[in-house]
Amino acid sequence: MFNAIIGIWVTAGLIIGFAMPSAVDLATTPIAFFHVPMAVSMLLMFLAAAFFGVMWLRSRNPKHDALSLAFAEVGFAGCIIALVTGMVFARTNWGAYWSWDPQQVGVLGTLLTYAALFALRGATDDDIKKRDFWAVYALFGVLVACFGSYVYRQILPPGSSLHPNRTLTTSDAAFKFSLWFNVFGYVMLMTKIALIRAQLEVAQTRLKELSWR
Amino acid sequence: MTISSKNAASPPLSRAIWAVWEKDFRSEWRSRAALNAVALFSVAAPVALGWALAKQKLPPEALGGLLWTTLFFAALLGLPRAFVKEEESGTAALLRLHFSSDAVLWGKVLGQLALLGVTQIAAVPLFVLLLGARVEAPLLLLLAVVLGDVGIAVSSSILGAMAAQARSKGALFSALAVPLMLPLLASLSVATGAAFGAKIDAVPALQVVAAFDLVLLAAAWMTFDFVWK
Repeated sequence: MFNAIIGIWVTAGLIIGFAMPSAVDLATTPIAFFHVPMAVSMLLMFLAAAFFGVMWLRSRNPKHDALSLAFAEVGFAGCIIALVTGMVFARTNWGAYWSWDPQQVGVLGTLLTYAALFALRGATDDDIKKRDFWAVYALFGVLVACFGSYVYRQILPPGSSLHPNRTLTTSDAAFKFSLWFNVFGYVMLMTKIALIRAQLEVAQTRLKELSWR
Repeated sequence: MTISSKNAASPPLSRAIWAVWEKDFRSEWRSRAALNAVALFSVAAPVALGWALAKQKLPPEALGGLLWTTLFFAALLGLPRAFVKEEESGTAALLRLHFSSDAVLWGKVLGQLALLGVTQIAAVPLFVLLLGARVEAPLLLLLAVVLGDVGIAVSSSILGAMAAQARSKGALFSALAVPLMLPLLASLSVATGAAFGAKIDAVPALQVVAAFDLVLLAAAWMTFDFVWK
């Protein structure tokens, strides 16, 4: 039932995004209705990964580590989608796929951070250390994600960023509805995928433990 | 807090931090491996940049970015040694037995700060001289260097401790450190560009560096026990 609701919600979000007229003074193309919600959802997934990482450090429950891994993986996929859709948006609005816009660079930095996190997990043999290192670096990683998504362009001189500044705070009701409708849909979809991935990770860990007996 | 730190016989924290720092200092003074690597890179990089960019007048914003890229990559060469040498020489277990994780963390951070400070005393003036940068706000430059060094020292200590216990230590340290230090690198480049005369407000960038340092310090303090035990 929940799966059907998510499917209908995300499909409705896609239709609304394409049916929506361009918001006034925001230089939007239909892809903005998917790119911005994906970027917001990505950040929420990384926050969830850091949260469950801290939960693992406190509880030592492998389920929390599996959830942290799953949310980071789904967030990483969301980060790639946000970057690619952002490049399409940039080509349409600014004439080039890559313009060294602070927000583009920030998302690329976030992508590198989480790629390093996966490399760290793969480079550690001891299961407990692997999970501890993961949780600690996931906590640091969310700092980079917040910096890349929001803070970096604030410290640069006005005009350094090509990104429209009022995307999330616009008063355009139609744009706002489409934006948050899609954010909610993507968060539900990504959370569902992460929960399935976490179940798979827990099952894999259990199988590994059984094979050692 | 580790078991050893709860032991009544263990030294007070300040003395333990000093002992860790002194051990690192003596060990480094004997080999000078990290110092040589960081100092040589810090000196060679501006020379290479000077040759590559011969007689080109670089804007202050670019000079700020180049200075921090040089200092940052120099730090990547030497800083992981602090923990890698403990694992390689088998002294990590002794450190764990004798000192609390807090003492190890802050002792190592102080060691990293000393190494960065010593090399930058030579590297920053040399960079300014060779690349023709004009330091219009020396105090701002000093503040940026101090705040930047604190962030680099703290993050390299906790990342170095993780990388030293994993496979492919050196390469992994760089892979972990580069993205994590990007916010520092970006903000410090902006602040240093302002110190070199760029018409930019350096205050927001310095606030970001200070905030990042504080969060790193707090997060490292809270999580180092999990990394080191």
